[in-house]
Amino acid sequence: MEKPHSELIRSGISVSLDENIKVLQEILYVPQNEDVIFKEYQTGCLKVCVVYVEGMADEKKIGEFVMHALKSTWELEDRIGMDPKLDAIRNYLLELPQAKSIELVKDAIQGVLAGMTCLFVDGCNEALLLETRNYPHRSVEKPTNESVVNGPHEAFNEHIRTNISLIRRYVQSPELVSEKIYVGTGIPTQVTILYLKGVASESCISEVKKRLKKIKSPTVMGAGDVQQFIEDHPFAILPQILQTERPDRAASCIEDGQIALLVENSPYALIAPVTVFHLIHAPDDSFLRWQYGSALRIIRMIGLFISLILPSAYIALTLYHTHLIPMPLLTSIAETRANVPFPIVIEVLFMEFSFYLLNEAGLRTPSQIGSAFGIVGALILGQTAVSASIISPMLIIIIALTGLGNYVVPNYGFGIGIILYRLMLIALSSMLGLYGLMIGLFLIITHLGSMKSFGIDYLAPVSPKRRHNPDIILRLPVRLQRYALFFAKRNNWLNGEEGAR
Amino acid sequence: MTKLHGRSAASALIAAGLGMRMFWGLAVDYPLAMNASWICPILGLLVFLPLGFAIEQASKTGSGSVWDNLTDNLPTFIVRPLEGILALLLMYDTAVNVRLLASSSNLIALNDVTVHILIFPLALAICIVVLLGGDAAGHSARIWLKILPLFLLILLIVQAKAYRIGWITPILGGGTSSIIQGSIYCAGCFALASLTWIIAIPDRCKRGILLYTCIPGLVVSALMVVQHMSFPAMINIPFTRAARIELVLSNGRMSLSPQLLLDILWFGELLQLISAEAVTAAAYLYKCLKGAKRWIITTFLSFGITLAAIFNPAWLRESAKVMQLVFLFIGGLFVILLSCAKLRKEVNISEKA
Repeated sequence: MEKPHSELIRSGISVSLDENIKVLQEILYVPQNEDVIFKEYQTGCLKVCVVYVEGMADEKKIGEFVMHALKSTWELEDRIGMDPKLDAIRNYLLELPQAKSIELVKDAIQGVLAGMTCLFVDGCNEALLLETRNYPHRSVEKPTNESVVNGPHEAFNEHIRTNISLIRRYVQSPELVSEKIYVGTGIPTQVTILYLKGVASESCISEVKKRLKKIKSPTVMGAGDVQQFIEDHPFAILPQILQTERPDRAASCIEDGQIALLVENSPYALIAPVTVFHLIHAPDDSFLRWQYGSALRIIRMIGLFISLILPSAYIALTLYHTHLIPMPLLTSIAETRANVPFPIVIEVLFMEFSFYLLNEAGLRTPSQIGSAFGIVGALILGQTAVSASIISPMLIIIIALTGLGNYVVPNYGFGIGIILYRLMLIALSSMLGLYGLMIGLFLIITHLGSMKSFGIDYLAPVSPKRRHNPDIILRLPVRLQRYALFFAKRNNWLNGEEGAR
Repeated sequence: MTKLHGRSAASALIAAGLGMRMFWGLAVDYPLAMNASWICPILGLLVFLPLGFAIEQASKTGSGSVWDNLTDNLPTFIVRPLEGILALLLMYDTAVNVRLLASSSNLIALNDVTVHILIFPLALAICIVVLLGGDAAGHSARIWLKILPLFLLILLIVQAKAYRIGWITPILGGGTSSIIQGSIYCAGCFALASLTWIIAIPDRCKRGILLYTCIPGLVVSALMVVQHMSFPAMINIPFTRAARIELVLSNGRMSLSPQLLLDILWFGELLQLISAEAVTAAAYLYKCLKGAKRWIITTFLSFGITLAAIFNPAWLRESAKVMQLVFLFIGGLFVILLSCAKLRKEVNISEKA
């Protein structure tokens, strides 16, 4: 079924002002839509109409710089004979820096709905789209998911223009290009592609544009939707695009030759292409001295590893490979499990799901009652479950370490991916012990090895080996980090001929 | 076509799988060299070197894979069967490895599960790896190669106090004859691994096959010295393969503290070896059955390997003898192909003249 008024929307702007008003009122459902304002008036020799959406456009600006300015048409009268009417109004009357002529009703509708003001003049088959956007939005606040000890404390918000200006403040270069694309066939959403010309790979830029243009969904709600539409492997468990709420991180990625996507109403930037190592790195790493950054990364890697395999290794060892556990530890485990009636697998799954429930409930609960969850978690699921012999104390240590390990993963999507992998490994190790665990790990790494992010191998630059800085697991001194990222354009203007900074 | 595009992937597959193939082969398939088996990889490497050099030369004759360069102008009715034979040879050795891995997991812990059942998860893994392609397997192998030295180092440090140099004597172990046969066995392992390099499409990797075969050869030799230092030379070699596998996995007379690490290394290395051989076999099958769909190749390969491993026919247990013939077969085949290519070149030159 075709979109309502599609014929009218596609049509051109008429010479008759009344006709234009009628068309727009029909498309915008006026008078039902009371917030769409049509202000029609005669000023001197001109009959004009301004159209805007109340609350989206700045009425003060419209009154002062548009309507008031149009009243002094006597200045215009002697020029109207020389210039086309619309150009004369734009050049000699309006006091707004941004005004562009449009010829299609579609552009007028899109502009008005985005908060701009459309000025129709009787006798002109064009209209002026005036920059008067001023809708309510959050101010720039502290990041909530990527907070750092050192480094900037500002995050993106839902206002795309603020987000672009935040990035421009970090990358003050004429080579920073921001291209606007609308996605969504029914209700279009603005996506802005930001990259550094001559540093980002041309093939990558065109691939991003191609994929954005391929989106055939009627609506695109935000960065999450865009990410799912354009990533290489939609069925893969780990994300192939980095989401960041930090403008400094987005700017750093752009300087490395990556591409940032800002989506209207999303307080996140999407960064592509990325490798798995980008998802493990945290913004803190680059603000700290290399020794501290490296130490934190090692801790994070160990945490990630523990989170991935600890419960499955516990199951494998206690179920099948008891001979590999030192005798005092084995005795201790056996003693603590003596009264537990369930098999180890059930015990582990019970605790795992309890942990997920607590985690999820904690996220959705108002902060005022958040402390209650601590009590529920610590007392009911911990102490009480042990005294009731539902679980063993050893398992609480295992699950607590696993949970902590999961929290050190800096990327939220990556953390959830690790949970899913962990459940798979638990299933395999409960059936086949160490043999199953090794097969599972092997398949996970092989699958990661097959993945790509916008044509870039997901495990690169480690596998396949590519030229890189000492900044993968250990972060060595900044002076040793001389190369551009391997997927940036070779011999680019930023990094010199040999890639040396 | 399976994606064994880069030699960067092939090199990792060779380096990750070859060492393990020689190590377990000398310990289980060919234990007669006894505590002198560390000499076999070095001698085997020397035997393999001419073939290695020939492969290096052939890789420079064209822009495609070594196999494509050599078989470019040969008639299809000769090339296709050859590709089929090489694929079957690789499938045979994969089945041997699958059987070994399943048996070792049975011996280590899963005694109540039959080996046949333990083969199924591996069959599924092979299926997935072949579907994901050679490059994916190569990338996984490279990650494994980053972890492997760390594990080996920990293992060697933990056990360092227990080694006795005296146990590697007598130097010639079971005698020169057994050492020579073991060396031919190792040369077979080198030749089989080189099939991965031969079929891989060149990329930015500048180093040649010799490096990727020399390093595992020398590392295995060093590891065998270390292994022989952990228990005295055995005069009575266990008769059954299962007993020999158990002997390798029992870690000599060492304490059990590093046993977990050893088991992880054993499983990890065998999985890499299996994936390397399976994707190489798939690459030859794709060439042999040109135009065949990916699922047909994957099904044929996984079924073939699984059935051979499950039924464990007598010919599967003769892998020691097969491996000794592999070098002769691949070496001979290469000499013939090289001669044909050279002859063709001369004919072309004379035609032009």
